[in-house]
Amino acid sequence: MAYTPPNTFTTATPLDAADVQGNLDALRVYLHEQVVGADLRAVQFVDGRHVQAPEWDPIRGLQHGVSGWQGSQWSGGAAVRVSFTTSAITGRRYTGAEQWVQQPGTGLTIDIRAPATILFHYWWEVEAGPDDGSRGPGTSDRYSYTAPYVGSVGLVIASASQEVVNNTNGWSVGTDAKGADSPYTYIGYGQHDGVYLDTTTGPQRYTVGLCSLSTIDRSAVLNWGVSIEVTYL
Amino acid sequence: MSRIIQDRINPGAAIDAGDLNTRFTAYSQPGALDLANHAAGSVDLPQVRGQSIITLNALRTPLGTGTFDHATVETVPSATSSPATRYEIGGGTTRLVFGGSGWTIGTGDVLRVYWDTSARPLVSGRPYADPNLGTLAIDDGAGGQFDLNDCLACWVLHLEMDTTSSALANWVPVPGQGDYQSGSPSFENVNAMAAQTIVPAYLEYSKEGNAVEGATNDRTLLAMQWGGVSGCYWLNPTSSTTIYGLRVVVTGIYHAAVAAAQNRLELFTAVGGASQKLELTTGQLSAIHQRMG
Repeated sequence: MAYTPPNTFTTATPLDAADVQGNLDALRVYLHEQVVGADLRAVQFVDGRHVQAPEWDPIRGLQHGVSGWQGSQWSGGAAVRVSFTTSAITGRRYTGAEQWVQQPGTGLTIDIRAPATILFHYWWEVEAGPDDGSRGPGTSDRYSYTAPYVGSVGLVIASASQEVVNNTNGWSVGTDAKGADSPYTYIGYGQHDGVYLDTTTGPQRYTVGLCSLSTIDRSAVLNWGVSIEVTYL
Repeated sequence: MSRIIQDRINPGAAIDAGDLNTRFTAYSQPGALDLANHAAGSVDLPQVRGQSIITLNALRTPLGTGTFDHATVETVPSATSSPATRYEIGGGTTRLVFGGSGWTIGTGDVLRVYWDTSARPLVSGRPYADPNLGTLAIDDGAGGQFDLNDCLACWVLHLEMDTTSSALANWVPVPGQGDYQSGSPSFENVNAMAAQTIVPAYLEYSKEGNAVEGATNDRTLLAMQWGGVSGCYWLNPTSSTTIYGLRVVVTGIYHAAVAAAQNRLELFTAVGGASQKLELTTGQLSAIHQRMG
């Protein structure tokens, strides 16, 4: 029932401690147990985002609140934790097979508790090649592709992939120095970024990250960063 | 939102019956507690703290009709006359369509747009050598000079919207962006490039030309290859705006220029022609409409 003070005070009468305490006790009971529907506005005003438990994950840099999730990961700085992408494991260089491989560290898994909109921001930089070996089937130039995936690499958003071309022309034939024939400022270096937008219709465990597909024998992923914004609808 | 705000009771103040009663009856507020009372007591993300931060709409579409591995591509020829004809990526099949009512972006709202794709520019034969726009005189290593272009030329991918109707027949650039349809040759100043992505159109270099080192020039037009490009845009309108669709269009080739104390990109038709072109594979175009608290 709604709160009504059990005791009312009157001017020029003694103020009794028990009466004041009685009002306070009644108020305490009301606030803890007896807020009733009649005290609330007669329109819907509480939705999912107001009853979500908060969560903080310092390892993965994620936090959850009533409005959704946010967080980010990055490689730690230029060349701090270089990883690699290679045709040796993506299997496309010689056979034409297409095997996307997860890029280590870029995946984020979160528990989504209501229908939500997801924005996955990502960027990365690659030094691709040089690779002067035999060319892969169906292509005269080799590339390192990176794309977002959802759930597993079985669901790669290939349409969102972006590529970095091999530092082509192979190795310098000079006798004094051997190495990439062209500087990476011309070719073979790429810094790219993108945003993948997704929606969910209900609670689920959701994984999103970056994966790669390469027709180059080896490329260094120098640096990367991923961020996620999730808002409940 | 219902809040109970009372003056504090100070030492030495008289106890007044009416004041005391009010301090209790203030809690009797039928129908007063609402969303804000709950939100104020909740734990929320710091960037969206408030009582009305919500995502109102969100939509994504693949952008373009090509395939990511370049097996099929879209081709955009460079303009031979001014202004350049706008080429819509995907030919109308990969635009964002917001339905019959559109998305109404209010003054307290924000529209965020992101796009990316993959592009390869193809230019051959040094068509930019005449009329020599962007010429750099370089030591040829034999007592003379040769022309090495500055290569400050590019294609432009810019964002357009339709605010007229869901028929999507009246496309205009988004606020802050120009459409490169005015001027002779057509151009846009850098202060009208809020929603565009550029793709370098060509690159030539001389690997060895240097008199000090005693080498002759070796001018080379680099065979440009595929690479990812991306862009983003946000709109916080000063008055409510209904948007029925978004698309990305391509024009080019432009060259950097300065006129009337303004840096700008102006159409470089000397490089125009079907063989001087831009190829596109596929990408994505996304928009999210949010209300800010």
